[in-house]
Amino acid sequence: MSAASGAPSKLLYPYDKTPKSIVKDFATVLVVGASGSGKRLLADALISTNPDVALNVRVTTSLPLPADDRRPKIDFVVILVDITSRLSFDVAAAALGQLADSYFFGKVCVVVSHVDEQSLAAVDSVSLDKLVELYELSVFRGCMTDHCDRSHVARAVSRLLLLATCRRRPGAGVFVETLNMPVVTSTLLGDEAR
Amino acid sequence: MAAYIETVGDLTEKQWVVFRVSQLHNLRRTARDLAHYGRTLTAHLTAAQNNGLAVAVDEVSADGPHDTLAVRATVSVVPGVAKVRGEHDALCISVWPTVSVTKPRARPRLPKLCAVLYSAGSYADEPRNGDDDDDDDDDDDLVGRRDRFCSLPTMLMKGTARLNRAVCLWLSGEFDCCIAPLRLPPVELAWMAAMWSVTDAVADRPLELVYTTPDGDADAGAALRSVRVRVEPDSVSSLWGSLKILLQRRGPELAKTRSTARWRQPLPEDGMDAGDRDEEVGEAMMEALHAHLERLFGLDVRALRLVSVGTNRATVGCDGKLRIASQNDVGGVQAVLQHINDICLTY
Repeated sequence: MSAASGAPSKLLYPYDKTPKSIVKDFATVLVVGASGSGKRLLADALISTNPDVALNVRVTTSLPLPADDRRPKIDFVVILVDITSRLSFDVAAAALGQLADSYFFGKVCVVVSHVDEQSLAAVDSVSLDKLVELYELSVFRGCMTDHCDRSHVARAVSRLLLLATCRRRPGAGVFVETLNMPVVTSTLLGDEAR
Repeated sequence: MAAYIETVGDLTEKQWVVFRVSQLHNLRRTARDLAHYGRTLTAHLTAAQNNGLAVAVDEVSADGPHDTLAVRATVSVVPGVAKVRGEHDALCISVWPTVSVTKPRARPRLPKLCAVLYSAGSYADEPRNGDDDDDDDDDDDLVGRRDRFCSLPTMLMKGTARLNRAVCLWLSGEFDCCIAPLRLPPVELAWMAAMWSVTDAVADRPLELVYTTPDGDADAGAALRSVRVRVEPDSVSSLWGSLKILLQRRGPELAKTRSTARWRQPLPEDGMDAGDRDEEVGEAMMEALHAHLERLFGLDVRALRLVSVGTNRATVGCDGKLRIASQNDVGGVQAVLQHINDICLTY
């Protein structure tokens, strides 16, 4: 994990750089979240959950990232929201606006932490649901300070991460979901036959 | 002996602690039953004070001095607290110190404990009495069971901690219910600060916000534990008025240009009622305050935890402490009680 310095760049793109590493199983994950939301705990859990993949996890408190030629391309983005911090939610909402559209095809997800502290919630669940619905994101909820929750969330995020980096074939769930997509028929087919 | 709370207005300017109460089993409201509850509670509290020596309930009479009794409790009905028609009237439990033998006519002015149980929206919305003519035995049994339960989900209590515990113990034993203190999350406190800072666009009391640093935050340092923000009533009124006018003129444009609010879809003009507009103005006011504090002091209060708010209508803390302002009319007090009741039903 590392931090970089320099002038801020524009939107974050998944394919703005060529892969510099020739290692077969190499992926870079960016975890975005406010201070105290549990980024490093999640990063450690992601690394320990994927021992076979050379995972490079970077953490940041906000986007856009400063320009850095040494940084590899970001394959997957995890937005971490702490429901006990209003700042965390605002940072997450702002960060989603700094991602290129191509990230929203399965290369970004939201992790909600401190879900066991509902009595300290500073974020309205309706607002969070609206934000997630708007971008059609996958959401995982757990408590980063609890080992079991953290492992469970890390495994769920890893499944998406491996799918996004083409290191895993989509399972039956994705296949069934594609079957549920509406089929569009063209009324012009009959005209073309004439 | 008269009750301490007789009208809705008596609830104002008193420091209450809010509790959540589950449904009460077999609660009766006849005068005879309420007197019986008073005697039972008196015997329970006296036994607790006498280190467990039991007191016969029959020995506790309604009037007259009794040196052997530590306290005297009364249970009465308080009409007008519930805003929703058809709900049960509120109950008031008062615990008075014992009347002196030498001055039997002297009435104590303040009780040792006062508790008000009320409902402004029950757990179940289905009709209480069986209005249908269904002869099914199962349905009759269900209606019968439902009639034995009474829903008074919110309790306001004022008294010493020891008496509070003793009365809660008595309630849970007498009516087979569970009582828990209400913990208000910061998101609810923020809503109250936004919506209760003004009444009819005018603020009579300053807006006070108290923040604390989150636990385990090493960057905060030993010096910074809490932050108190106080906004004078004139400033609150003018800020509210300005924002209301601004949002009315440029509401949809503002919602589109705010980068952090890109995900907020503005409601169509014909779909917004006064409550929705006030919520937008309240949210904008809180955002303006946060931005102002960050610009002046470099302090982002969004990273802190909101623990107490003092508004035009009430002062509320995250530990369940509530103080309703006396400036409120009956409708204002009922609105506060209704919202607290909604929170009790949610959390």
